[in-house]
Amino acid sequence: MRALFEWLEERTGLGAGVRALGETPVAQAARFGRVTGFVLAGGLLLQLLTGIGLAAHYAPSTTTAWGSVVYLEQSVLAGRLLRGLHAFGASAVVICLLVHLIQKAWRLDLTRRLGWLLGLALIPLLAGFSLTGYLLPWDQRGYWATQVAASITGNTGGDLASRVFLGGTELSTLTLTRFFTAHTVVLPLTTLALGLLALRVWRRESALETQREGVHAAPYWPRHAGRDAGAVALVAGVVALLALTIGPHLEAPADPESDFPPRPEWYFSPLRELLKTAPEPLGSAVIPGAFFLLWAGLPWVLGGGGPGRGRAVRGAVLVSVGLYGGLLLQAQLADLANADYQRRLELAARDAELARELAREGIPPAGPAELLRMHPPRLGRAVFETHCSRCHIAEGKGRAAGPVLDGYLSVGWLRRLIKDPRHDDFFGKTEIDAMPPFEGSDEELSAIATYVRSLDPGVTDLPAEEVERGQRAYVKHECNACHKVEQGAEDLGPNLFGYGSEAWLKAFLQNPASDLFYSEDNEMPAYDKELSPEELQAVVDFLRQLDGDAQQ
Amino acid sequence: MSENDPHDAPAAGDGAPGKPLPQASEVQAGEVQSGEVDRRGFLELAGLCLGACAGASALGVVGAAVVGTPLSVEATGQEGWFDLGPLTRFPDAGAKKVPVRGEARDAFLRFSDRSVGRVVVVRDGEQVRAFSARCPHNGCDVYVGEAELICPCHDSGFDLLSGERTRGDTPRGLDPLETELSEGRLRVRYQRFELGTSERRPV
Repeated sequence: MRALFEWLEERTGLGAGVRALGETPVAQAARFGRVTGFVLAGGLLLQLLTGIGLAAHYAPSTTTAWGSVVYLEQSVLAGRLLRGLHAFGASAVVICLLVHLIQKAWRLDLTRRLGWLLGLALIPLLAGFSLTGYLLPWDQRGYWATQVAASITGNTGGDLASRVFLGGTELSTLTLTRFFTAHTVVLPLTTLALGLLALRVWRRESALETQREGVHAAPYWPRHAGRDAGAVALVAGVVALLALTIGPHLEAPADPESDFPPRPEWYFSPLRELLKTAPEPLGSAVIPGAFFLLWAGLPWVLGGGGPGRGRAVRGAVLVSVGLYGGLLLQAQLADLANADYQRRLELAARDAELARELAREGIPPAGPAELLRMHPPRLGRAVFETHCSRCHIAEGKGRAAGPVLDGYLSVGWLRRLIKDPRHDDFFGKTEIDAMPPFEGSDEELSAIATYVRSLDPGVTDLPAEEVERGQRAYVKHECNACHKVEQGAEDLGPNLFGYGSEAWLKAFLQNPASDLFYSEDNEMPAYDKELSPEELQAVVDFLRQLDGDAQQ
Repeated sequence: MSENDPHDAPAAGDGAPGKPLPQASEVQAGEVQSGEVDRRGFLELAGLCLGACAGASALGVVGAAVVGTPLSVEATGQEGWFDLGPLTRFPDAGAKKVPVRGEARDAFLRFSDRSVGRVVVVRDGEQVRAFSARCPHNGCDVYVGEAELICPCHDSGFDLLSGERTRGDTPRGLDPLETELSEGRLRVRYQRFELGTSERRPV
């Protein structure tokens, strides 16, 4: 082993370089102010590590991205932890950078001007990381937030800027591949280059600083290194705790057809607040740019020092931090007070949970948005909403031009229908008035309703004697004069063979004007062409579950 | 540069007395030494130029792909007439948001039935109007609220009937779309408009 190291050392001299780095004389005993920079570097390295784990499982396309992230969380060993570490690690790095810069400026520790500028350069870099990383899961949050970011880019820099940003004219797979490349190649390489440069600056300027008289210097290794590594471990521990307890966030898959109230990552929310009062380009480029330049110029403002200049620098720090913090607070409070937003977030959370559950069966090739869209209960409800709710009420929604369908097919619903077909909840608002109100006893009414219910072969839990009584009453009250119960028999009223079964409902919906059903009295549209087989099946399923006990 | 730095040696002597003599084979009879220096200088310069050209070409190729393509592609599949189904599908009075679906490309992927856009159809009896659901501010989709159309991104509000701005940061009202009724079916001409401008400009 030792021989190998020596062989390598002879040819690279790397060991000597590292040793020299460790021997860098550093002024001052362990001080908090000097730690933040190294915690920042450590945090970035941890992001690189966890990022590799994530990239190894990620598939950047609109149809696969969300699925690959869910798969990572559900099926990859420690995948959820990995994603949590990366997500909370990102916030930790941002906090580290802000604390680092603020404390340096506040302590007027601005003599290493290049080092200061390199630190500041991390702000746009981290913003780029965050912006691109936000979209990668291709969930509702990332999709809509990027939609807004693209629009802000366009409003600030014109159509060309927005096209380069999106990789085309709209959010697409090309946006994903380009964000992925920026997030995993371009930005990390740039950050690494800046980091190496910063290391060199640190080494050189530390050496210069410690040459001054009266400065107590000690080599970086091991004392300072130990302190820094400890601090990195501490921050990493907090991040791991958050990753394990709260876990990473993932909304339902991106679906332009479904509403979502998007918000940017928390550290961008002051910018969002700012944009509310100062539209583009003032709030998106001019004001943030001015503050950035102000901070870049702080070492020059400070110049040779002097109390007046020091006060100016600290004043600038106070104003910036106050403004940022104030807007941050304002953004959070505004959202907390926005009941509509909170309600929509809750709905979105429900979608997200259902989508994750459905994803366990695999993602269809058309993309993860199909999971929720084609989920039969949802599809059925959507079909009802689109096609039926103009004339029918179900689940309390819709308009009662035709029969109210809450409780549809239940014995109770049938009782009410048979008792008074011209009631406004049934055919009162239609042209259908051939069926007389039932005039027999309540027992007979219940029995007939039970019998009609039993015509659906899928319903088997009805009391047999009651069904039999109902069948006799059905004949006695001449129901069968208009409503035949034999397959294919036409008469005045709808044929009730298999009434309420899937087959009956499908046949009815496909052609209600058939002689088997309402014939010329029919006012309902036919749905043979309007609905796909999946949609027809879904709405039939939806109708068949409206007979819930609660509604009987 | 220190004199004993070996890396400096070749460059240090250009035209200086310390310059090593050229190899005999390289020197043609009768040529003066300064001509030799010029040629070497030229070769070095040419080499540098070639290298720079190679680098620039590589950058150019990458740039063409990464920046040039999005600048040159045309917006596709976002414009045209779409069938929204029978008019009876929409409530007599009030607004309803519906997707406009059709064949759509997403880079190399082709979808036979995908959301191209969303449309808010507003009916007031016989009068039918349609708006693009895309908020003209930042491009989020508005939803139908109780008293107005609302954008969930920055809380802009729009009038339920006219689509005019009622509150918020939006620079203009919702973008109206052409509609057409034929044989009881509602058709809409979907198109996109530039975002963030008070003037309405089709993309």
